Amino acid sequence: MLAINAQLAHCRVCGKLASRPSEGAYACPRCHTPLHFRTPRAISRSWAFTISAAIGFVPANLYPIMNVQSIDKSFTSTIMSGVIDLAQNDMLPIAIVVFVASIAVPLFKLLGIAVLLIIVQRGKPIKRQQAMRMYRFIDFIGRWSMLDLFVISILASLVSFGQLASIEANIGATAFAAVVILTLFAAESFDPRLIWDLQDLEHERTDL
Amino acid sequence: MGKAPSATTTACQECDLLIQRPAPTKSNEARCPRCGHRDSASRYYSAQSSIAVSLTALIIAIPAHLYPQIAFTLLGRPASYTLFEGALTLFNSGFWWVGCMILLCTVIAPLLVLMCIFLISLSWILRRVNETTARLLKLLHYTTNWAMLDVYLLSMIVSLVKLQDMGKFELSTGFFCLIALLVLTTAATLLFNSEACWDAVERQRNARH
Repeated sequence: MLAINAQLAHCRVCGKLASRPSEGAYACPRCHTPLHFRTPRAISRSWAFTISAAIGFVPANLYPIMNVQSIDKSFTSTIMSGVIDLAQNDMLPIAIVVFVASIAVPLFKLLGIAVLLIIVQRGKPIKRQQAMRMYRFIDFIGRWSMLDLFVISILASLVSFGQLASIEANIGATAFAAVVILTLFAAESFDPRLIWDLQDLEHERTDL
Repeated sequence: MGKAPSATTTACQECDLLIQRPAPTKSNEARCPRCGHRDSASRYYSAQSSIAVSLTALIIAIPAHLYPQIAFTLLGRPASYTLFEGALTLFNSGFWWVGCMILLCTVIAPLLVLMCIFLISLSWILRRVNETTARLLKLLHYTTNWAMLDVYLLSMIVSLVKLQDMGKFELSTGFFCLIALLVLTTAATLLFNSEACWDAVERQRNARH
């Protein structure tokens, strides 16, 4: 039996299971935050964050995130050129780490959330376990895209020797920070219980 | 409105299935039979170990943040790096937005998480659970996701690899304290059980009425 069918709602902030009226606003008796059966407007909020993040993804990748200046050379580095640079300098494992964290993770996350949202909006039967695995994966990987921003802050603060060598942040970093935050919010706004409200394609266990 | 559920009944956070929560055990967390979600609230809560670990972490956090984490030399010129300086450099060059995020994820959020765990466990041990405890529990809920020391550690390794052909670097005190801080923060989060503390808040409220 589901909590919603018993007129019970599970609080997402404090974990309290409480009964609430089926209509109107109601605060959790334990932590006093609004209590709902399902997060209201979860789908539209999640879409809004996903689309904004997708838009931000373009400048984040096109604009340079760092200015590197040393005696013999001076160049700007985008996320992708940083990865290529690492790979060419025989540091393939690190290049892969950076590529996964900065490009693959945000991209996969955006696509994944979009797919989940479309699935939930279509309302057709799906393989729920599979959709759930995707949701958990997306939720888990999101934070790792902060990696490149931390790297910029470390490099910019360590390498500041004036004319000799210096690394500075550039406009792409701002865009990238916005993308990371927006994808975190997008995943946070999604309510996984919506997946389980759909019919399952596989054998439904009625005893639960 | 429905009937008030019994104390051991809970709903799975991720699929809304009603489950009977088993008595907490030290060994493992209960899993939702439908979606497999691990119910961290079924974990055994020991306020003593929570206090011990979070206090140790708070102490370790001082050198981890104040001492330089990397010492770097380029053509004989030294430079060193602490967490604050990293964020400050970004502030000064006009990237206050990125600087704020880095400060939030590496300094503010981890410290808030540790402080919350420490203060809540302390109020538990002193039997002084009250409305402040409830507020701290809420704060803890909102900050946990923003503590990203693990990501930060990996980014240090990436930066060192990028720096290795520019000059010489050395890992210093702050770096090793940071690793200890990361391990202790993870341990404190795993030892803590917010459900047990929320229950205590509710018991306290009922006792007062």
